Amino acid sequence: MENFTRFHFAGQKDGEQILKVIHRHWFDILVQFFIVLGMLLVFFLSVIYLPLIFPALRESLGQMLFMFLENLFFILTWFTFFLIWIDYYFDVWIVTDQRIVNIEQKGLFARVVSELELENIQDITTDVKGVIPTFLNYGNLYVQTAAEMERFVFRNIPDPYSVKDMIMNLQKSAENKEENEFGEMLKKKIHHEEV
Amino acid sequence: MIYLVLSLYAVILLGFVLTYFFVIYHLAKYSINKKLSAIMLAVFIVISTLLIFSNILLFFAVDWEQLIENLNII
Repeated sequence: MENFTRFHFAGQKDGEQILKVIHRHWFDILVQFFIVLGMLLVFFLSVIYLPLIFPALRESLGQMLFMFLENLFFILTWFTFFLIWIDYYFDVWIVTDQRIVNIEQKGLFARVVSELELENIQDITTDVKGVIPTFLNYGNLYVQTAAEMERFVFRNIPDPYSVKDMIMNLQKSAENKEENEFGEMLKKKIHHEEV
Repeated sequence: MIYLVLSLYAVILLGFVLTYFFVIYHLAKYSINKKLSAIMLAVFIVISTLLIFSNILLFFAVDWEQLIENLNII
């Protein structure tokens, strides 16, 4: 099992242990990175070919302007790369021994944090659709809660089947623990009444 | 005309600087893995600072007045 002792998230309770940290599958970010790759291609091609097509760009005045514009474009590419990375890296599902926390980053200005106690889980469904998700083994996982709230969705996560098994096992242990605690409480109460 | 170029550049630069600080804020505040966060912060700060400073230097290295004059002739 992976070691998550170095991990810490805002709102983590005392003694709460992180068991799994799940990000979206790498293929999901690869598709977005094609934009950055396209921008890099444009950058390198323009550095090589534009001065050949327009000789004025090799003269001192034109050369400085060309370098300035290329630099500006590279900064734009660099920031685009990081914005895509942030959107990916901060979209995370954290499974702990007590609950599931979903942190969803939407651009730079929106962040949604929701959580679900393991005892409240009623049903878990996995959904792997399409050729690429089947080959790469990634897909969605839906967790239905006891309350009539909307489903908790893990989007495009790697290996949803093993995550499902893990959450179901955790839910069973949480349920057993709760039943045992309830049993102990009843026993104590009966014993107290008999005395 | 030169003031128009300057103000346009100021707007672009402000956009870059704001994005720069937002990225740093997110990496520093919301990262759940502190070690990875430190590495990403170091890479982002060093490269972005170099890029922004080189861009400012390049902007002032361009002879805008001459350039605008040449454009007017065309």
